[in-house]
Amino acid sequence: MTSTTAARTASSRVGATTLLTIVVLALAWFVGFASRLFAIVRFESIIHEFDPWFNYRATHHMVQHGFYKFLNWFDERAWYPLGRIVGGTVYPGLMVTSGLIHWILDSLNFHVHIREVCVFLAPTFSGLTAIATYLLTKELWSPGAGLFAACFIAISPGYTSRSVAGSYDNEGIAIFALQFTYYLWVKSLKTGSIMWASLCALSYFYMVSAWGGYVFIINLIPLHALALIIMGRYSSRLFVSYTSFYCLATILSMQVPFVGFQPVRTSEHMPAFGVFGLLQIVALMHYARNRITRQQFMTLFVGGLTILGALSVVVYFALVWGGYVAPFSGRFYSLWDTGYAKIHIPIIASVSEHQPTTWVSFFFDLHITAAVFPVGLWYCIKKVNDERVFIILYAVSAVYFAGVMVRLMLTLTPAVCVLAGIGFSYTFEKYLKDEETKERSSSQSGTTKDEKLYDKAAKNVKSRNANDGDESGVSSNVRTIISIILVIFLLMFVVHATYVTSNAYSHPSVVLQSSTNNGDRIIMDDFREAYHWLRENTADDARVMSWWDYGYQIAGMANRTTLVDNNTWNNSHIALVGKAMSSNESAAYEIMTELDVDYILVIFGGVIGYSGDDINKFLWMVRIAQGEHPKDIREENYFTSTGEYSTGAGASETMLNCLMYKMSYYRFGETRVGYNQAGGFDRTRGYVIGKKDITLEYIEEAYTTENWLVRIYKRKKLPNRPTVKSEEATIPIKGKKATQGKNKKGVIRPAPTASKA
Amino acid sequence: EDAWKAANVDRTIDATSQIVKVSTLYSFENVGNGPQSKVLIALSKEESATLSFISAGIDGSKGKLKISEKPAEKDLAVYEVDLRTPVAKGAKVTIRINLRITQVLEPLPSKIQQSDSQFVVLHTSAYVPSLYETVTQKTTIRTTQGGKLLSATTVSPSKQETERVIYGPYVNIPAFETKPVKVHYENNSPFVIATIVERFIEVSHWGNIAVEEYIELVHKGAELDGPFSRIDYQMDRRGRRQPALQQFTTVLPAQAKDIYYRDEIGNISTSAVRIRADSVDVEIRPRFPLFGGWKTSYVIGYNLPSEEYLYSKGNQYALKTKLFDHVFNDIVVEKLRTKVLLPEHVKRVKVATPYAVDRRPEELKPTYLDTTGRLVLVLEKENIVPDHSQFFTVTYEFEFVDMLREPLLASAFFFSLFFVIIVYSRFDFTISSDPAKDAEERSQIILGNLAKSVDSKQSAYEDLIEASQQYKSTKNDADLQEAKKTFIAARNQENSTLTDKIATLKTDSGASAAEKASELLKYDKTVFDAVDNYLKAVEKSTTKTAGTEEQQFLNKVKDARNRADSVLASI
Repeated sequence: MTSTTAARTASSRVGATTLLTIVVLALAWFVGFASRLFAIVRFESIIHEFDPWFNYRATHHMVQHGFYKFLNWFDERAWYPLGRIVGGTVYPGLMVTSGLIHWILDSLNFHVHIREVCVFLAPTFSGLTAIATYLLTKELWSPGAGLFAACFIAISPGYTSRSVAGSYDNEGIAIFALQFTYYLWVKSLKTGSIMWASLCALSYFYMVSAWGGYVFIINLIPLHALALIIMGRYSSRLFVSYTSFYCLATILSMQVPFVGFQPVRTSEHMPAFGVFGLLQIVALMHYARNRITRQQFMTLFVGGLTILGALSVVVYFALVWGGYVAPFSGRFYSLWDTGYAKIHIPIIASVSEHQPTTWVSFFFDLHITAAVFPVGLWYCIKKVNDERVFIILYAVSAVYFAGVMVRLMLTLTPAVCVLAGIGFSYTFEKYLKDEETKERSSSQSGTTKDEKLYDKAAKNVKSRNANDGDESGVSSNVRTIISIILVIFLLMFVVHATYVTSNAYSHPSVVLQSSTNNGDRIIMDDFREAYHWLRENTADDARVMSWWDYGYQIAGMANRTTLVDNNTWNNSHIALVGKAMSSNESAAYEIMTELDVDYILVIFGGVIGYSGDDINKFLWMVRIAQGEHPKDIREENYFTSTGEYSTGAGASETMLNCLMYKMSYYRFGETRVGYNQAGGFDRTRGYVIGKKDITLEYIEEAYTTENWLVRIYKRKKLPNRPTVKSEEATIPIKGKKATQGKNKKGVIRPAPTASKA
Repeated sequence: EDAWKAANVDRTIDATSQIVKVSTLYSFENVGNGPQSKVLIALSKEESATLSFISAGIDGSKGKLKISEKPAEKDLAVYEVDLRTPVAKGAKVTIRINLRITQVLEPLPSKIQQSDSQFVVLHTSAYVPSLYETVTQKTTIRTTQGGKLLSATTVSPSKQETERVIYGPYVNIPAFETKPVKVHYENNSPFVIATIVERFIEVSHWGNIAVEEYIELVHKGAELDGPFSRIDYQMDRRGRRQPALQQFTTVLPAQAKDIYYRDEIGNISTSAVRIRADSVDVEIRPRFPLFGGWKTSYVIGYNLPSEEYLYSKGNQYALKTKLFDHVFNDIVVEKLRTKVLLPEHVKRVKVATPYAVDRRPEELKPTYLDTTGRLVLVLEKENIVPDHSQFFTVTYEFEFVDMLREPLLASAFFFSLFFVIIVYSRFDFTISSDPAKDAEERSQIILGNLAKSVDSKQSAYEDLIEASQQYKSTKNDADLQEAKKTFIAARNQENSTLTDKIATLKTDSGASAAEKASELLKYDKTVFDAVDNYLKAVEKSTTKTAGTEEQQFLNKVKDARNRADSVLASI
């Protein structure tokens, strides 16, 4: 007490706070990074799943050939025979980011393989996301809430699921861009400065270049602006920030080749434009209000607005009708009507991450934050201001979208973390503050610290409570208990997040792992075994047909031409592959010959009990094929007489003769799981297969991996015609013989040489 | 007129693996005119074309003899062996020649089914090629154990046994005589050839040698025709004796650690490391069994402690390591490229190899924090067999100071970075001035001054109290009066500074702050009024402990102090 002075404590408190903030953020970064490395520690530094393989391949291509070559890259190894213009159909932000990091490291002579950069990109960006979340929450509420939010987002399973090491996907960097854009938007709205708005537009540009989810931003920010106008919170700050953001953002986003003219030509971007127009009118109204009479004002604006509104609706529909503006896409409709995709676009419905979210996964991905974020939302509503309207809108819309599609859980997580941070911070602020107030009141009453007795302090608190009137008589006992409970909740959140990250989200899915009876780890590396076999032992231009799920992996790991891949842009091509898989061998052979297929790859889990195999996905192939070829493929033909989907004893004739069944179960009947089990027992489905003596006529087994997980077949070339003996081959010429002359054998005479006589 | 006569030649051709190992025991007799120290050995053209390794030695002794190639004579390649010690006229010498011949066994049929066995044909001559007349000679061809022998050309007297074919003994065969024979037999050992082995040896003077090998393997035996069936492969009764490479063991040096085995799509999980007494064995199973015509490629790498391989004397260093190391027994390497990465700034590099290699132009490779890049020696050799696994030496000069350069560079970088941050955060680089902010900063400074004044005033009080305590024991009046004087002077000075500062504060941050600050003076006044009373009480006091009045004063001082703190905090 004697040496330190109040002013010095004040200035050193600022220093301590800064230090604490930096330490907390650095720790959040580190913990977020480290907890994403389970897969690396358990397996290896490897790219996970499906889409990341394409991103990795594209990045590799860019690093090798340069950015402009990458933009012009025509990938003839995908969508055979169509090919794919990669530069114009990807969001290049991800590749450019890791390419840039690789370039910087390379120019510092740190030669790191681009794969390592790609693997560690998402964990690194999770730290940046934490910082962006801190900044956003700080702008919305307080630095303390920001630290809470940063710590939440660093380990929240909902975000970790898309950003573990090796999960090299757009989302990994896009969530950072999303949060940072929102921070800059809130900042620009608060300051009304063009600089912040321009920075916001730049950050938005990065987001556009990184992920298709940018549409969420370009609809949420206008929604925020619209809500502010409706709530009567219009200000010149809003006008400045929104107009400068919209103009710059639209122009910038059009620089991304994949987006191109979409910002002015599709319906998804029209609301932003509408709000832009509306804002001009509102600004004009505010300008005019003080300069004209009330009567004039009413006529001008009520009349003018009606006409303008009607006109803009008419113009919009005219543009849509005229084809200048594209109507809303199917994916957009499926956001509003969950049954839409199933009926109209089965390929969207077939993807598991497009399914509606279950309640369990909300808890699984968000844990305690799911329960606390409504509290934060409530605080924001109670103490609403311009920027808190934003987080309210963000949370409400994100909750809706997360309920529609599992993968949109990702956009909800940041909002939940921000609001849970606010909730926790505000509650703790109230419940932990007594320590300091005691000190203050005790010093005012002139008692020294040593004399601070329990009941006296309580009295002081009470008297302060009487003054505040805000908190109605919560005793310090209750405060302590509540604080402890909250801390326990937070600890449980950490435990849960670690558990989920470790068990649910850290599997590369390229490598499978199981354990023996005595606990030894068995690694099943069948996918890479097959892909590497394809890479080394097939012709460089061999074309591999498989279901579209494996397209990117085949291209990435086996470096072979595929027919369809995970970029499901051409439904009819996928349907053709589905038709080949679900037809009988001869019909399939025709399709495969037309498509120039050399090898066919199927995933079969019957030997080891892997449930994600092609037989289990087969019904989707049939459905998608039926969508395009209803005459040839009928879904009901593949069911048993009782209407079940089965490959066992009761399987239908169509099922037993289709190519997929034959390829999966070829010679499977000869295998035996145990001594007392019949041959051909499918461990995934749990029954003996329907038909064991499968003969292949048009294809032959080329390779089967160790655990039969991947089976590759080779399309046989058409057999030669039966050989004809040489004497039969010469056709005796009857009748008049050819003119007999001196030049029997058809000798070419020397050309007449011109000579001068 | 021949200088030598071959009294007896005993040749053994081991054709059980893909390498044809020929071991010939020559017994030469000097029939020339005087003592001789050089003898010529002949190889057939076919043998010499694919000859990978040749060595010669006196039978029974360990030393090796020098051998050099001479111009061919009449379809026979000629090698000259230096016997070192001259052989007297009429005396005999017995030497052993070892040959390793690669890629001469021709698979027949060249395409087989998965269940078939592999048969190969060996073309050779029943007579040992020789530049001299041979008195007696015999050739034994060893074929695979337990394998079938389909056919062998008979050159009487020749015998076919279960695992070998014996030609001879033949008597008095003149020089340059050949008798082509063909042996067709079963050989299921995989004919796996490394088309390229790229070996990187990176030397770090911090105590580590990193070795990495990139290997491409191809099975060049009979090609697999038709389908590959996993179930047939698993059920095959031949087991390991299928003509396919299923697994092999790579023997690494005993000090090898941090071993990795991977390919371009990641770690190959089917491998195991066994640590033996004098080696580290890596049991490698490629991702898939290598059947005829199949290929695979992988990378294996490990670290070695440099003290075992790097010798130094002053600034002279010698790196002694293997030019080519074990991959698996009976491997044939078509092309070996060994690259040695030496530290940055090495001078006077010399390479000594046990056999002739092709030295390619040196490269520069910059890695971690390098500026000019490290020197990379590139050594190449074709047609390699395990017998080539020998040590070679690279000597160079390297200054110790160069080792410290990079850590210093990094430290300097971070130092300057933090220095810039320190400078940046301490100085104000804004161009425009913000009056409100400036005023705030000024008032902060004033507040700091105020606090300082309050502090020193407090210490003045404390000094006074201490002096009065002392007075209690000494009863020295002069001292007390002196202390009182200093106290009053100090207090007055501080008070005037306070008034000053409060006035400035008023202009800067407005009246309310100044008003609050002037309370500081107010509290002080009440305390000061009590000083005289206190001193009187002290003078009267007889006890050493403080009386109630004194205690009151002490409390007052403390209280004033606390109030001053709260006032400052409230501003």
